[in-house]
Amino acid sequence: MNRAYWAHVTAFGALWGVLEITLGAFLHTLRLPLVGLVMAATSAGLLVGQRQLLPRRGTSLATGVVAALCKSISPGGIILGPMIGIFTEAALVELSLLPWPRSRVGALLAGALCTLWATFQGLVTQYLLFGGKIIELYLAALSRAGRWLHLPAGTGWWALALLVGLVGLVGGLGALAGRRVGLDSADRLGLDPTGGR
Amino acid sequence: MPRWVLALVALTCVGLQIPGSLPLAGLALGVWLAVLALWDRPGLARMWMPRFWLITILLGLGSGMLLGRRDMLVLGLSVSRAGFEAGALMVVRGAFIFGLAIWASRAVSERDIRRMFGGVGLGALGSAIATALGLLPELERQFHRAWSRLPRRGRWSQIRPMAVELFCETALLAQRMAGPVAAVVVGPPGAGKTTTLLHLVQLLRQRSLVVGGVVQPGVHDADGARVGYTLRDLGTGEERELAHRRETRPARGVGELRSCAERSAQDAPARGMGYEFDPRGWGWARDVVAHARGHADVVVVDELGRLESEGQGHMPALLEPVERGDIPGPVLLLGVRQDRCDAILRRLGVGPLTPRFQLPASEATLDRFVASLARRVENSSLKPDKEATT
Repeated sequence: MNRAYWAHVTAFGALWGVLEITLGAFLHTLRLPLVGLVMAATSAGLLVGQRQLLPRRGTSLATGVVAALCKSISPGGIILGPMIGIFTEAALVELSLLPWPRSRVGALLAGALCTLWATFQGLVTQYLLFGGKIIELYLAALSRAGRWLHLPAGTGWWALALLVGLVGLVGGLGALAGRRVGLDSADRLGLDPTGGR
Repeated sequence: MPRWVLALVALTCVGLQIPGSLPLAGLALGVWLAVLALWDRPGLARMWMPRFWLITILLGLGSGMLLGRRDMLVLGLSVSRAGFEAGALMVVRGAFIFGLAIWASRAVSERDIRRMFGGVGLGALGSAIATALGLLPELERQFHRAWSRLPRRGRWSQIRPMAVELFCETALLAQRMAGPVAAVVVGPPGAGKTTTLLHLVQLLRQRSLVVGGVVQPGVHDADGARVGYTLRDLGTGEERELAHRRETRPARGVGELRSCAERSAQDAPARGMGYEFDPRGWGWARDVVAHARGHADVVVVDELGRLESEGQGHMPALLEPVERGDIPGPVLLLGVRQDRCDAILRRLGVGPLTPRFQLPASEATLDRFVASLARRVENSSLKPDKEATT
């Protein structure tokens, strides 16, 4: 790992941090729905795009650590949750791109995992905060709601699958867009498209 | 109270949460709230988040009504004792972890993070984080500039070009932080690196860029075999002899010798090891490069090979500004032997995003390479007049 590698990680980590602090804070302030989803898809796009410029393994993870720590200076109350969120997204992208850092399939998977994590991070956090009972509680509430609405058994699971599919699709599209941006940037910077650097 | 003592108390309280018993969890929460009240009042004040607490209490009540067998009556409602206990534990745990997170996110500073990473052998990561924090204002400005440059109508359709712009700016920023900004023409001996460099010099000058430095055309005998190298100052056109084949030292002036640029097509590959170099030639080239660094947008250095990969030849001239910390400096346009390219770029410390022009190549590739080179010049804060205007 040389100085050039760390300079790259630093610059892109700072870029992600800036996006989280400015765009993220702005969208959260507007209290728009699905802000987490949008930000996760953007983050996935940024990380996947970055790997088109620098396909070296570990880049996404290191960038995530830098971005998460940049987020620590974000104004506002609790920042530990978003920091964990950023780091986990980076780890998921790193895992997805591990075998083929520039492939479309890896990008799709990375994006889908990022948005799914962002959507269900709350649930995971609640699980950690309150223990396993919370899952039982939600399942019991869902089952009771299903009975009140006279829905056939198993409908809830289909609805959940649909939600997971939609959320994953948004993330995948975000990551593919990021991949395109990365490839365009590599082209504009006159980089070797085979990645032989 | 020293932070390490508070950290120890926090760890003990976390330990008390592990068995999952309501009295122990309640004790841990009580101790931690007392700690916050005594030594971190602002932290305690930040725990006042009505929406969070309302949701937490509702979850606790919900678990009492939905979980387990209903064996208790509260306000006329039949509820489960086990469910209520589970709910109470959730609320207590939630409050404790929430309070802990508030304290931790305030107590851990940037300097601590850097020290912590350094302590576990990840000093580079710690420095990266510290540098990134310093970069935030500049990147934020870049982000706003890129956004404001978009036309008001159809702004959303321009998102992709803006993203590409932002990516390129960030990559070039990384390049500037890393070390010299360079672009390389790569090829095996006799592939036409010097000819390509001279062509590139012309194209760059057509773009009104100032180009300096040295090229190193080969010297050929009457049969077309390479017998030596000369050095040519791109600024003045002055030439000096640099090297000759051991067995064929030419007893004639440089002017009589034909250059590689004129005869690259029939060029016989040089055998690298069979040359004798004139140390005065290197000294002269170093002066030319140093002069070019002072005023040119692009500094050309040609024929980097085995010697440079071992730190000799042109390498001291290239490393001198790096050692002085005078980087990034002008954009370096280097002619590099293919088999030594990685070693030379590593030694120079140039970034991983260095564009390579691999010979042989098409005219279209050349145009793209020139455009990328010009962009690098535009983006590097090299010339004093550029710095003054930005």
